[in-house]
Amino acid sequence: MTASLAPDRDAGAASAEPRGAAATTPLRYWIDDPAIGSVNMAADEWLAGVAVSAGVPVARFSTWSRATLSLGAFQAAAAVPADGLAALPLVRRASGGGAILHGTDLTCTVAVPRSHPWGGEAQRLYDEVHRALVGVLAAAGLRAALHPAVGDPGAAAAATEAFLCFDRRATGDVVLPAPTGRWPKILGSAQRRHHAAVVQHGSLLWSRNDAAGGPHARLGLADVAATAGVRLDPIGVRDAWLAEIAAAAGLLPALQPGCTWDADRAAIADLAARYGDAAWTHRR
Amino acid sequence: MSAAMRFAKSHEWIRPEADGTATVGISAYAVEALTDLVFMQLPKVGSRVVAGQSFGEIESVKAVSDLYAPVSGDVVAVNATLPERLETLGNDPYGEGWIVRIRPDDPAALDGLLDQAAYEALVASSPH
Repeated sequence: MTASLAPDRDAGAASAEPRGAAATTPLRYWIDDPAIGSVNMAADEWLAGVAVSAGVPVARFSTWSRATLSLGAFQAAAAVPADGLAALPLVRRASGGGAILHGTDLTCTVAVPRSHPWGGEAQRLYDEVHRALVGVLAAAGLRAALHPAVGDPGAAAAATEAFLCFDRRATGDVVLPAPTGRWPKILGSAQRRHHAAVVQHGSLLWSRNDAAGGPHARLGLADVAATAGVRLDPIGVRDAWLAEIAAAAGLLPALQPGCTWDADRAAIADLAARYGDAAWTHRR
Repeated sequence: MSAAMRFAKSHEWIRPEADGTATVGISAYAVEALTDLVFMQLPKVGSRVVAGQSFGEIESVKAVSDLYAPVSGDVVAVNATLPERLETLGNDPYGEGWIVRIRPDDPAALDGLLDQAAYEALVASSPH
């Protein structure tokens, strides 16, 4: 079936005090064209300044123009397994966590000024954005949960330092119930906490990515949903997710024209040059 | 905690030492807010740090944060074993959890930072 993806205000746990108030302040957001890794990293960093200027969260959704491996800030480039992953374009994030195989995922970046209630403890922003997706999926008839989830055989497992993000579990990661084994993770996020803003980018694994070969392919949201008889529309999920994030923040979604690099081409080009520099990528 | 200790708004502390150097760390509040720490990068001895600019990075399970220099100066020592025992930051943030020792360009620059009472007021007003 094709599920309705209209936001359900009753779905998911209550998240923030602004919900329910008449929102008038805009949550500016961009929906960017697919881009290479260095441009996506640059646009995410640029968003921090926008958030500081706005005084409230801002967001962008992005996809990747080709399969790419992104390293966490502290991961060693030499740790990339010498298999299909090593053949992919490589970019280093400013945020932490494990490596992500991009290409079939949707990246949701939220930048928040440190003065905002979501700019304090790291877990708060993580949970707000992730819980928003859980609510969207609930409205679509798909149960999702935040790790550690009751009933997940992997909920009590010790944290690992697996190379890939989707093989790790952190509190608040979004997982989907599975009939057997550890529940698959479909959304994980990482933050870069600047002096005046926090930038969090989350990767929603939409479908299986075979770009690096079978050993690194993981089921995505659409794959798991299909086994449950739920057919999801990526654009509908994206738009409903943004609406839920805005509602949780007490803001009114305001789609910005064009892409982030149209908004500030020179600044993003400068940042992209740094993220595209081998000295940055191989700094560790 | 030394009465001479001062704090930056970015949650680093700095304590003047008798030999003219100053020890730098991060506050207990900052450590708690960062949650589980997993990695840390320290500057090299002899490197320059500039007030308000990053001199290192620290990663928790969720986030990477910059460490900002409270004042400008030269790094004269680093707590080299700290990255291998990050729990020390939580257990003793103002003692064994020190991060670097610097020689400030201008010792009077510490006077422009927050004292303990002002820092505690800042933390109390921060978003939770």
